[in-house]
Amino acid sequence: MKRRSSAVLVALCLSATSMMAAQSADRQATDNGVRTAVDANGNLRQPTIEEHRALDAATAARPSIMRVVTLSSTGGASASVDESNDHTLVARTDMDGNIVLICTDDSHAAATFAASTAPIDTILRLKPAQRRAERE
Amino acid sequence: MKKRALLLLASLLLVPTLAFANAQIIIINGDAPGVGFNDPTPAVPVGGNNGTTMGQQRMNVFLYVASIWAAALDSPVPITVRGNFGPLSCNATSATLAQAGARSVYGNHPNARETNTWYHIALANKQAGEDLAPVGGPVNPDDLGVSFNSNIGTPGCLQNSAGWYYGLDTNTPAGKTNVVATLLHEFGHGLGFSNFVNRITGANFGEPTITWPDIYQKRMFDNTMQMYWDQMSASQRLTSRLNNGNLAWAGATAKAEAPSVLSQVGRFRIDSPSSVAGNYGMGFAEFGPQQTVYPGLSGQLVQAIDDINAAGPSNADGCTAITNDVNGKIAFVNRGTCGFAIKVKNAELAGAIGVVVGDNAAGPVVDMGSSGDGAFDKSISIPSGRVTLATANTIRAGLAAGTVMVNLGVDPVSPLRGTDSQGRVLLYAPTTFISGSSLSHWDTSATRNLLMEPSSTMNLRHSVKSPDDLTLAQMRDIGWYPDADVDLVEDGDDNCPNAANADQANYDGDAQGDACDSDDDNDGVADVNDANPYSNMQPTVVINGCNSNAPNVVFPNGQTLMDRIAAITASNHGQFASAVSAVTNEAKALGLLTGAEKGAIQNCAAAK
Repeated sequence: MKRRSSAVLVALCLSATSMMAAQSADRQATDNGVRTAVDANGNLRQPTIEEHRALDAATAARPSIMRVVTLSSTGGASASVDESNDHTLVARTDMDGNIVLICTDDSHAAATFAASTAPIDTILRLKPAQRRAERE
Repeated sequence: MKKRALLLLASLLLVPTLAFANAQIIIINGDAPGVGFNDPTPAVPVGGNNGTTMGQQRMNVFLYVASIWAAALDSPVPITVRGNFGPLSCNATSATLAQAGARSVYGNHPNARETNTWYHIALANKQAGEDLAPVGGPVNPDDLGVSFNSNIGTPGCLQNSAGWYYGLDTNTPAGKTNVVATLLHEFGHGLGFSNFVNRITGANFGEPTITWPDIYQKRMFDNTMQMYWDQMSASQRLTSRLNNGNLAWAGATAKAEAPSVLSQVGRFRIDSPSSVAGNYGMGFAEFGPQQTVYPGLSGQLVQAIDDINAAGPSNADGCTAITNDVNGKIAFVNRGTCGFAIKVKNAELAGAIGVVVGDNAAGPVVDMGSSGDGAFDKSISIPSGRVTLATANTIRAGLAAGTVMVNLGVDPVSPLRGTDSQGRVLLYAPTTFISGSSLSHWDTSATRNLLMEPSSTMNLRHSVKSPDDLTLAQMRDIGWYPDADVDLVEDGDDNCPNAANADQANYDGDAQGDACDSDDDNDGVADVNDANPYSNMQPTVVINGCNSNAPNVVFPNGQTLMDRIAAITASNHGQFASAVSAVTNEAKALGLLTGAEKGAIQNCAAAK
């Protein structure tokens, strides 16, 4: 589950007029990009000054949490990837006392694995020929 | 350069930078004073890691891993990695050991290999040749972030674990986790071995505002749907992520290098006695040399005998020293009581050339796992294999009938383990429990074990390249092309792969560009001695459209006749013709022209 720091997700806008608006001092954090607000219906609109400032503050505090898609003047686009998308290596003690490791694609799956008591073999090797090699 | 500024700001306590041959990786110390990388707790040097504090050892591991990746990748833009060791979530029975990822993505950057595609930022930087995520820009300026749990093995945090192994080798003690292997793996995710598809909805990253796929998913191919992931709808992706055994990596480089890394299915062949002769399935061992060739190891198979004692209640389990003659033979032992590696080691100490372990319970062919002690595993120098209980009983029948001759090898017509029928390496797509949450890994059926499997940290060599591993091959497939001189021209297409020449200028049109050609105009005079390295090399002398058909000869100083004529400054035609005559006379005197050729040139010069 992606974390979002505000109800209004700041996203990108491709329009030339918005590109020009990016020169505003209030939007300096976007550098050569543009921020546009998306309302609850998915429609784009100009963010308010307050929203810009709130985003600047949030980005400064937790820069990797926000997903801000920004379009550059050359047509490129960039976006931060939040930490919940990190690959997470998690370890769990199995029923035999062995430590079992698995790398998951996000923190949500890692938490699920850590909390589960499901047999390890059902997780790591699903087909008989693919079962994790046994130690003895 | 802006990233260097960041480095100074972020690493006031420790500022490690290393310049490598092909890429530069900058580790940013993200820890506060006194903890993590800055932990002053004394530590004993271990496994080639000479750090004397916990902090030093941790940083040494990061730098070592960075050196491996930096030597494998080429980029003109430094790769910044923010690392830290700190408390991550854990309890007595489970813990987050580490987490890592790219800190931003970029698409439609300059020189992007594929448009409308998200790239991991370090890769986008490489292709663009510039830092696309500078300090002060709209996205996180770090390229990768890596966090390790510093509390592993302490009370209340997976305390039964032996913790991290900070050695730079693979002699990982039993129960410990090799940080180098773990970190190599995590770097791999951040550099490109990951996709950004929403796990819950199947939507592409950036939707709904941008609908681009990422470069990783564009190489994911579902053999059932016969579609790439970027061709699928979100719901199709959600289905595909559970298609265990049928999701493949459709990258050409990984497929091409797979035969040098992966093995075929093991095969145990009994040659005699005839009553039991035949081919049987066999699992490999995660220790000792892998018998992955055909026809493999042949020899006489004998039942190994050891004492009945507390270490092993059977005289056929191989848990203690072998007492009968197995010297020069392949030893047969029963599974059970002690680890596979112990059995094989005991047989090796008795002189056996190989070992077959017979299962003690009905089941499929399964591999033999590592002992968990890296040094012990590496001490084993003979191959071994594991057969099912049914095959073990067949062996016993053979031994009762007479001399048993066997072969341990692979099935030469079987597919590589971990690939599909097309030879493409399979991706992990678990169907249960953590459904689809581990797609950014190779499938666990791969043998040898690969760095980017979801759970494999044992018996790995600290390498990302074939024949040890396929991670670099995967990186090549997404656009980490080799570029030794980092001039943004792929080595295979670069007319000077070891001399930066983005313009690929090549005056003489030969195989070498000017930047590395010692004779740019190919006139036979080395550039260092050439009065004009870029001579007019047209074949014949032409003056004002008059082709003399005389050769455009080269003077000893590297100038051609056309060079000399072009350099003539004359105030009238007569002066020009006279100057041409002088030049051609000189050429004739040097034996470069015949009299007729000289005359033809002079006639052209004289003509209006």
